[in-house]
Amino acid sequence: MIDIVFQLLIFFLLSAKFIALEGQLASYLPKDRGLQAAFSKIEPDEVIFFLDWIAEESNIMTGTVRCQTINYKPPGDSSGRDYEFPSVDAGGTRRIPYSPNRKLVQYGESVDMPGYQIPDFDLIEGYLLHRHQLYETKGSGKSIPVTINVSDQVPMQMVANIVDICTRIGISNVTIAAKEVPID
Amino acid sequence: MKKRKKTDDNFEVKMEMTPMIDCVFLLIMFFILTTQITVNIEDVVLPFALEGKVQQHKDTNELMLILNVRKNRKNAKPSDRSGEIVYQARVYNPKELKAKLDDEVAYDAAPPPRGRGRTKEEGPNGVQLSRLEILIRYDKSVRSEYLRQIFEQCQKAGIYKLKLATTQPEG
Repeated sequence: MIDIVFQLLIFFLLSAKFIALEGQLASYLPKDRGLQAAFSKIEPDEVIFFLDWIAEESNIMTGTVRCQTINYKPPGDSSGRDYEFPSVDAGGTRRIPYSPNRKLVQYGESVDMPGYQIPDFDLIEGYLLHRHQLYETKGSGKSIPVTINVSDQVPMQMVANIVDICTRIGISNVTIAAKEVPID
Repeated sequence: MKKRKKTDDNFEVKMEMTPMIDCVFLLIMFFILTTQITVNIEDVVLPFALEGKVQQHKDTNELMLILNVRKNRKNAKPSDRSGEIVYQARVYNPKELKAKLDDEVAYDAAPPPRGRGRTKEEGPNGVQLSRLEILIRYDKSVRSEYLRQIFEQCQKAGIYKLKLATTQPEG
């Protein structure tokens, strides 16, 4: 009898922890776009990121993740190009501080994934916070829409980082879109 | 003295069978149950994120489909970083995934004998939205092509609640 009780106890302990160790980031597709995803409208205040993968010529395993955004001109920039966030070297097994508690994280792992140049996520976070606060002063009561246009080769971790930043700031309206060519 | 020696010779070791059977049953039970649980969960290195919330399910109403995107194991160059979408231990291409999601949405909305009977939500412009939630377990080094495919198919199927599985960063 006691044996069986212990078995049940152990079983429930183990099975309850099985999935619970994983965190979950909520992201919701916009409700109103519904079935016509291909013809979605761009809201004037929407933040749009373009993530691109630029492979290195000498070593095809590594490269640069380029992050651009439209609707933004830093002060003093008179060129007509989309703003591009500066890169940080996360090559090899280098550990990069990741906000807000400056925890050191590692992007490259092994031979299969030797690390790459990443956009500066601190700047992205600052920029998103700025845009979020501007949007809130308008008082629509909704969260600012963020769209991540990601090209096929970009590693998943980059998308997860941006969704993570959005969750931290309190932006719930994050969408992943098909690759579109930025308008120059 | 003599008498005592005699009893020592007659001493036999009896094997207790009951705990043994207990153990065997335990092992059997353990393997049956764990294999059922792990059917939906592939071996995937999840991306890290600080804000990932560990969620406990409060009731069975909040059920979740689990889509996995794992590294492609067959004839793939590592430099492609290609992967495959796996649902319930089966690999899906986008078209099949759409059909499967449509099935799941229909099952979710159908009245009880043939489904769960959770009526669809009404979105803006009269769009019918499913109450289904999808958890995406995506390998962090796989290219994000499949994420877009999943989002597209979910949007077509009328599912808008999506979640990304994450872990806490190491160190």
